[in-house]
Amino acid sequence: MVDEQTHGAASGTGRRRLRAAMRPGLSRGHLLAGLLCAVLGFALVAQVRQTQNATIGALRQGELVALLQNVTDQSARLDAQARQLEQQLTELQSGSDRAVVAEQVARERLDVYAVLAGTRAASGPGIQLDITDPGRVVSAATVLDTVQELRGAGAEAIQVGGQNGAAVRVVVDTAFLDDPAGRGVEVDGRVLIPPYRVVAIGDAASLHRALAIPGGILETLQTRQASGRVIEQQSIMVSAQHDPKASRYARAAEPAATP
Amino acid sequence: MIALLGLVVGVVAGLVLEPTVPVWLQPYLPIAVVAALDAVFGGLRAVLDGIFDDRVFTVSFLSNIVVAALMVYLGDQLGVGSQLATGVVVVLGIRIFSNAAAIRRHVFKA
Repeated sequence: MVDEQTHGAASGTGRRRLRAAMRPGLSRGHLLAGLLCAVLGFALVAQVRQTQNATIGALRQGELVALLQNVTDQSARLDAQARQLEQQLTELQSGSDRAVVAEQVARERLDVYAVLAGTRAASGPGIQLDITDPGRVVSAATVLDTVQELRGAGAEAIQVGGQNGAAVRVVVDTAFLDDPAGRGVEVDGRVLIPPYRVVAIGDAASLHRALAIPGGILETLQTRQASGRVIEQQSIMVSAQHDPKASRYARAAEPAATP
Repeated sequence: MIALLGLVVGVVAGLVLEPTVPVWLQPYLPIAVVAALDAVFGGLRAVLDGIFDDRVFTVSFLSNIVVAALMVYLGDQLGVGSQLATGVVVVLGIRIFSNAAAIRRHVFKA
């Protein structure tokens, strides 16, 4: 309160003094004060500008650490995401690759099964066995023996043919019967009339050996007044096809889960 | 008069030259500016009190800046830089306010 009083008394001279100070008066002290004020103004503007476009350079250490932490976290998150996506990509690619491979394998297996089931013509190295039987002495049992012998020697596809090019593919359920009328051999319901021609695909030398062994088919045929002649060929065609019947009872089972 | 002129010249120069604050000066400049402002207000009050002295003004101006910068530097070294800077600004702000109040009494007689 005392201060207030004294200031109130001095206020009259205050304005006068201000006006007096506003009068230009040159002295070294005044110039120095002016220079300092100029420096202040300059620094003020510089600082204001600096603050307005505050970049990370103006931040304190703690803020920088927090900022760095944020960026690191974000980077780690994005890294994890990228890894996950790459993994997905790899999975999808290998998945489609697997599908292609599986299809290829399935096709190859289909070919194998088609040859095995006799639903498709087969070709390859093998033998051709011509049996002449003028006396009709070759029985169904002999033909079956021939087929068994060839199978044992590794024949992969066999057909038995008769006169006029009639031929029957020998498959897993092929039946051989003596024709009741004595014309020849009934194979899978078709009567084949001699001379017979058996075509087998496999290792030609092995097949030939299997037929020519002592006590084998060729010798048996000879003892029965018939004759057999084997021709080995580099490429031979088993063209007769088997028409598979759809099974009435058996159904393909799902592969059991391996325990 | 010359001081006011100098202030204007400085501001204009700052606006025209568009200076960038060097990195080593960045922590100290804001505090130094506030300290200098305090000195200027003190000088203005001294003018109105009729006790203005060039020498005192110059010395207080420079010493204010140096001490403020020194405190910020010390605070940074001690790991309490931002807190100490805040403290310095608060103290200088109080001083500026009290000086401004004294100037107000002189000018508006209230």
